[in-house]
Amino acid sequence: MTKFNADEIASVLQAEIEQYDSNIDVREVGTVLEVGDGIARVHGLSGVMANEMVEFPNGTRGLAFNLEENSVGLIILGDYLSIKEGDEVRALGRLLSVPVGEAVIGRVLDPLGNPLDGKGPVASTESRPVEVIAAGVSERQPVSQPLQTGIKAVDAMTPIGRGQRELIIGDRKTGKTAVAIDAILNQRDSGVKCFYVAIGQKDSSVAGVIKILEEQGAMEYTTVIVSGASSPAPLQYVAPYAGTAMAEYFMWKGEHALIVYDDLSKQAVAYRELSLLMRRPPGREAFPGDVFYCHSRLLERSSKLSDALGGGSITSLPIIETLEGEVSAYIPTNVISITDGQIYLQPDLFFAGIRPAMNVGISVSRVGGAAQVKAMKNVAGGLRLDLAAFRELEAFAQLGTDLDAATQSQLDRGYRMVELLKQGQYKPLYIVDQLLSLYAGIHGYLDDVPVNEVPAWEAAFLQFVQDQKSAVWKMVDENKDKGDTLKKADDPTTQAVVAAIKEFKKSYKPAD
Amino acid sequence: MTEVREKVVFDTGQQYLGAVYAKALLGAAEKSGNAESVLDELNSFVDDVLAKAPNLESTLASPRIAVDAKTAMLDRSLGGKVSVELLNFLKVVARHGRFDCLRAIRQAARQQLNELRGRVEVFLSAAQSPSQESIELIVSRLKALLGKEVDLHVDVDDELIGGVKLRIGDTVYDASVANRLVRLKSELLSKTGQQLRDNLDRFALAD
Repeated sequence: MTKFNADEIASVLQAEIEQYDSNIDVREVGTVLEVGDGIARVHGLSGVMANEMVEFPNGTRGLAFNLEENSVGLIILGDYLSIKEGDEVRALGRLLSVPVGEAVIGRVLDPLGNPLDGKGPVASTESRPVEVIAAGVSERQPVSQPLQTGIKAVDAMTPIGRGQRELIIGDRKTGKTAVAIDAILNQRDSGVKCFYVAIGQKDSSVAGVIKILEEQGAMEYTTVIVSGASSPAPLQYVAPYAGTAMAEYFMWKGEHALIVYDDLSKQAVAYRELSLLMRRPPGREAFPGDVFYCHSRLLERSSKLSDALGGGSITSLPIIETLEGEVSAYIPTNVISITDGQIYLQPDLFFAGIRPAMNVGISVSRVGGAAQVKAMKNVAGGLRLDLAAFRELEAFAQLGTDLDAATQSQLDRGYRMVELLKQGQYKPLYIVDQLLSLYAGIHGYLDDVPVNEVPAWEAAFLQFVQDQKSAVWKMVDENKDKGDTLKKADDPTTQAVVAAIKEFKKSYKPAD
Repeated sequence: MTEVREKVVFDTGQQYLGAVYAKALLGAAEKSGNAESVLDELNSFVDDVLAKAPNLESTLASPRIAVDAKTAMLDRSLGGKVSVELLNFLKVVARHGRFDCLRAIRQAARQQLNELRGRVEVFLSAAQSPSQESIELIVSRLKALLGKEVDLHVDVDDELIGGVKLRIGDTVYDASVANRLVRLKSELLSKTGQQLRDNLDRFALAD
């Protein structure tokens, strides 16, 4: 343990005191009229502006939320139990901001940027305001670069581009967080900085996520912003904006960031709580009228900047929890309409063992197709519709009627594709591996493999290519962004892949 | 100097009502040209009468006492001793059952009269009671700075340790020793902490 030299510290203190130049402290003040449940009503502060930061005598910060004729409504970002009626509140004349920069990477922070991981203060010299207006049209460019999640079903059927907002929606316990965590884990070598914002969650779940990220080495490029179920509503409301401010630092530097909001339903509930306490009029489901704006201004900040501004991006994966699959509730419809597509996770698929439990029919990506890896587009372009058709056919086949050979083979192919799209948790696959196994499945090379042996076949095949056909693997990797790769049978890459598959099939013996 | 600042007028509803009644009172008093004296009488009524006879105040504010009895009580006790404007005003307040707002009315009336006369209320807190000369000096300086008449209220607060604190409206100009010490502490903590983080070796004791 280091021992400190008291004399040295005393000399620093003395030098500082000698230099200390105290001007008269001019401040705008108000008096607390009432306080409770994370809000305070204040008399005075006549010059305070909306969203301006204020300070209470105990050092707690607050935000001016409601400006009324005779009083100001504040939300209290922190401990509100030690604030009393009659306390002096001072306006700070600036907006709420959080520390940003490389120093926040690898840290677990609260929404104000205070460390929660016991690793000391955040050594950052820069900060950014939590609430900023999103980049305008002239500062952006269309989404054009893929962001690989490492999940076969997502990368093949609902591809995500850098700068896209892709909603992950589903009931409780359907694997929403798992999809987002896998996407973070897959960014290990991509240089994308990741931000995981946990809002209103059990601290035990957040601890579990942090443990996984640490074990898998993902904390080297990830920041976790936590505002748990026990945090006051104002902090839960601010958390996603704070996380976005930290991500924006990298976007404006020309780098790429991925941010996960887990989840926005709880943030909306926190915002509803604040608004009702502030006596703003309740609307549908008692949410205030501006809850749509609350989410749209947040998600609008995820964007792909123009090349002139460095071409940086923020990709966001907001998560929404539905009740009993009710996607037409207020908050789900709002966020569905804001985002550029959704991954819909369904409990019955989840319990049938199809994980990720993605419902292919209603999951879409509205812009990601333009950003999809060319080879993946060529291989899996029709997969989503084929699988949707298979689902219909499967329901029909359950009636027990005799099926003709063509229908039966379509069904068989479908069963194998569903099996092939299953993927274990925390096992993101590199794009080339995804391409190889999907190519085999879609082009019928798995039709003679029993359905329950498909996962074993896939694992053995990928291992075989790694071990014995690394030239083919490299060839696919190099050509994956070219327009014709794996499109036609006479393409050299296609021929090499087909040859590898055939060779593997000859040697493959299922393990009993 | 009387302590005229209401310490606890936090009911915004009462403040709103107070402003309405104060406007009416000042309007009536200005018409007869004796707004200042009426306001002085109101001050004296609140500070010297109501403060010493809380029973009277609760009686006048109580909804269980008939309005006629209240006006008769006001007539008997104040008739001939205060100006007609104030007596009539108190009767109106009693008739409308707003006697609980009287302190808010007084504060609003003072603010409105100050605005009308181009005066600014300034609250001065000092660690020790300032001398008459220094008060005059402060008032003359403030007049020159603000370009308005100054209505100075002095308050002694030994928690300031030294120096003075001025409050004009919602703005506080704090030159107290206590405030400087608090700011010095936070600055020292942050700067020394930063130096410690930047250069740990300098502060470590060699083994």
